[in-house]
Amino acid sequence: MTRFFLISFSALCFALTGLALQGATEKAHASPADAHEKAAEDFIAQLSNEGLAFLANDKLSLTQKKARFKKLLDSKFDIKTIGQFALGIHWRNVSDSEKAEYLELFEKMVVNVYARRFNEYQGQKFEITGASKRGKRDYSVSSLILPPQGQKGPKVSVDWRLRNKGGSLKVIDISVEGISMIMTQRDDFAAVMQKGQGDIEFLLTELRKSN
Amino acid sequence: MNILGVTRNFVAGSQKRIIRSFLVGFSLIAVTGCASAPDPSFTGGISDPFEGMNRAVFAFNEGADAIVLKPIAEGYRFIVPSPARTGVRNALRNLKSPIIFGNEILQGDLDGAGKAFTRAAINSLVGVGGLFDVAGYEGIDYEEEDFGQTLAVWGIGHGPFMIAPIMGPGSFRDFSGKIVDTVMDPLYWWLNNTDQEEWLTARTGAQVLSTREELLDVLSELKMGAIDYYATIRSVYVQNRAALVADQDPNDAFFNDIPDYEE
Repeated sequence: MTRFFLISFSALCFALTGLALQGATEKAHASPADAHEKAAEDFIAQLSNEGLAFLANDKLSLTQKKARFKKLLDSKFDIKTIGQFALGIHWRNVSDSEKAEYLELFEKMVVNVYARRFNEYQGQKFEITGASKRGKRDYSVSSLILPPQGQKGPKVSVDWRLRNKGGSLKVIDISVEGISMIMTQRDDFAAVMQKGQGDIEFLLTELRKSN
Repeated sequence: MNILGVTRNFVAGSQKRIIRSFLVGFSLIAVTGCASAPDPSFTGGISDPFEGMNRAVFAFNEGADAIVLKPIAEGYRFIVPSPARTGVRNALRNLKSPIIFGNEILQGDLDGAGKAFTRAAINSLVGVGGLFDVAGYEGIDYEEEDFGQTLAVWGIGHGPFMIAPIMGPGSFRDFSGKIVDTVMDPLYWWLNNTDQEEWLTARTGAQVLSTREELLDVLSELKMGAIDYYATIRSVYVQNRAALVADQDPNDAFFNDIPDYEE
């Protein structure tokens, strides 16, 4: 038993030194992010302001909120990249008109999926926690969605993957608690395409149903 | 022999049976799994040669979940206040410390092993037997490790995707890892050797409940947004494991490469 306490005590000392060191390195990292990272953070701050402006507006009907949300998607998200990635290898096997219809239905589906959650907004707080470069092209902005003031609840971590498309930043993926939306969507669609034996019409029918 | 003794023997016996039947099942799968290896790119980065059977078990699990587990998890969330639920989760995580420590060593991650050891020491002593995550508050965050991840670090792939009854999604590698983790756990042997197996059952029960409660929102979200819920769960499973293997904060993972498409 004495030995147990000795070990624990030394562990404690070890831990405390570790903490001191960690504190020191954290201070070194606290220098301001570079200009690109700052721009990525600002982009998400702007996005969240626009989003909260209509979410928190009780005077808007659901249809009006949906329209606002679609506008936000069109201006701040690269729906084409997201949709093309989600269709995976099937993209090159479909005609231009099918691509256009698919992208349109895909965006509608995204609007509808999120619209179901519009009324869940009860004053949750949005907090940006940092930005970093991801790979060659992209920036990742991490954020937290916190429960409304004075309420208890889980913090949800949301990461935004941004890419410069045609001179302006666009969101190309969102990761909620580590689950990438674009990957999950692709795997979902891949299963549907497989079931439809590679016929895009099968997926389009499913998408029309959910819209 | 009293009733409790009989129950204990039954529990211990059934545990052995479960492990044995898993081993038999795995060797069968290992043999048949080699026969067909479909392109994993179609199935969310993992091969799924038993998709038909998996989907059937998945449907069964979904039914059982809807009737039993989900309502209990909802009741647990409703009745037990959030700080107490966090305490339960912390204590369960603290009990996993020997397994995490062992796997960090096996993965050659000495820094991780040190963290696991420090966390166990601080949280057991200062954090009242692991109820409070004092170490996490001080910046030494919990890292989930298991033998499935260790195998991955050693370069072993998932093998076939599998949905186990009640236990849910996994892979040949990760389910095998679970067995190794069970026998690696000193608590398992100590409780078994001191005739206290019921604590193992209690811990498993608490673990299942705590995990299900944590997943209540995520899973219902996923289900709402999915056309093919099974494929979605498979995708999420593979993503989550990849993040854990990379010791990346799973809440901060963009692993995949998204090509820059032509306009």
